[in-house]
Amino acid sequence: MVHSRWSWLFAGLLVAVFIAAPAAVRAAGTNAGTSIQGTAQATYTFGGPTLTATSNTVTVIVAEILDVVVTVSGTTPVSAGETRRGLVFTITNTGNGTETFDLGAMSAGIVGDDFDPTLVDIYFDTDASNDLSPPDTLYVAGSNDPALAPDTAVRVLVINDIPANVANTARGRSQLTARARTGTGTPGSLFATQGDGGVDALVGTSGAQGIVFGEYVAARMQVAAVKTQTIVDPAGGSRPVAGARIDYQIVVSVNGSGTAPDAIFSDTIPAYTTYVPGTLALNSTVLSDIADGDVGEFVSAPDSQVRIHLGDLTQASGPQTIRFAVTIN
Amino acid sequence: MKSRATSDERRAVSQKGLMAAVTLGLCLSASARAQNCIELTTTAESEQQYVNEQGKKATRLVPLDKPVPGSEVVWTITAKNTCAKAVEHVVIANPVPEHMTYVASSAMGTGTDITYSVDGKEFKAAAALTSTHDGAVQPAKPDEYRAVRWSYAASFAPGSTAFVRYRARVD
Repeated sequence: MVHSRWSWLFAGLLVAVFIAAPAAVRAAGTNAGTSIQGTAQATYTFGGPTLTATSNTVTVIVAEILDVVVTVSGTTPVSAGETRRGLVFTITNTGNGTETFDLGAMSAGIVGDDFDPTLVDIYFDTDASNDLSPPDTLYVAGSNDPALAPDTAVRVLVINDIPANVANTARGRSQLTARARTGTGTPGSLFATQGDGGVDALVGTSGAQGIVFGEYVAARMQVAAVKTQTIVDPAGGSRPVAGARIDYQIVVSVNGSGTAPDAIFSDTIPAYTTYVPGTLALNSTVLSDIADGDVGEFVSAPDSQVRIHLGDLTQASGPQTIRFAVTIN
Repeated sequence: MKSRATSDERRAVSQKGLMAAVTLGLCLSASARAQNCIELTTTAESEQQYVNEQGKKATRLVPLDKPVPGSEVVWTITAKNTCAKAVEHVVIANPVPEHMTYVASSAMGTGTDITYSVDGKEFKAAAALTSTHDGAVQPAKPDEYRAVRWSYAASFAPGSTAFVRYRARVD
């Protein structure tokens, strides 16, 4: 509020104090370059009516803090020899200005792990799927470095290949580095006039960089289920038409060491199809549809479902082959 | 809040307004100038820790340098009676600036009764001030204060100066 000599001369006896609505406080705080203005007022009497005086206005320009937080989401289970597996990192600009971050990744020689993953690339997790998928964009340093507004984040995938010879439960680390383009260093380091809109930029508590490692864990065991189908239509062909029968075969197998205790296989009968009674079988042994002494059953509610208790499964159990059939309504 | 450019514009507008209101201005100016007795000055500084000549840690106020979110700003408002007669009932009011939060228990002013407001309209002593959240009235927290008011009990002798002070943190 700026009052000239003349405006207060004609103002009312008491000038209302202007109140700014409390702004929502965000993690990164007030944006760099914001001007904060302070003006005081006084009322007094001088033998007559109440008079008003207004002070000078002090303008304070908020400087820029360069800060970043990098986080990684958990550990990622992998198997030996897998290729192009991603670790999911989130880079959040916790500074109060828009900042571009230079990214880098490293997988070799990180202390504290059992094996070195082989670094492939960094991708932006464009579709937020937490895994490498076709819409994701390759990060190219110097070309598409992420520019983040205050309090915004970007998710990236650090992609590695897993060596073929890793042991079960072995851990391999890969780390991501995000560095503020304006500058990094000890907290408080000054980059004069290099902040948003030419304000001074100061390195925040993070040192304006984040270095975080993620971890792959070679899973003790992995359970795989592979489903195939065969269609026979009423005319003897293989078109999925009304009245056609679909024979499903699911092969469940365990790889690695360890046990999947009391494993239960269940599969929902697809919409617009009907289970063919008496077709449920495990390893060529036909199982009754009702819940009884054998390990299999067909359940009609709440969803139509076939279910088989496979018991404790290990790699030594070998592949378990399940079959059942439906007809298209 | 206006930028400097805007205040220049306003000054220009004020000059035009002066022409229009010249008669009124002439009537009032003599007495109004005489009544402009309180000169108010606002300064913004920051507190600095240093080691004094006795080798002890001490605090001093230094010009504000590169405030960032979380920085504490010490606001000082100085009032001076520039007239030849005593000035009475001096009340200094200061809104906590936008993008700033009042620091608890930081307001001080020798010889003043200090009141606070959460809306800039109703001022009460800290213990009596309330705020409303979801319809529930509860004691106001210091970080909700949006304005501070200092009321002087004593009059200001000619030429005398007094100051009040509070701290606020950049959001």
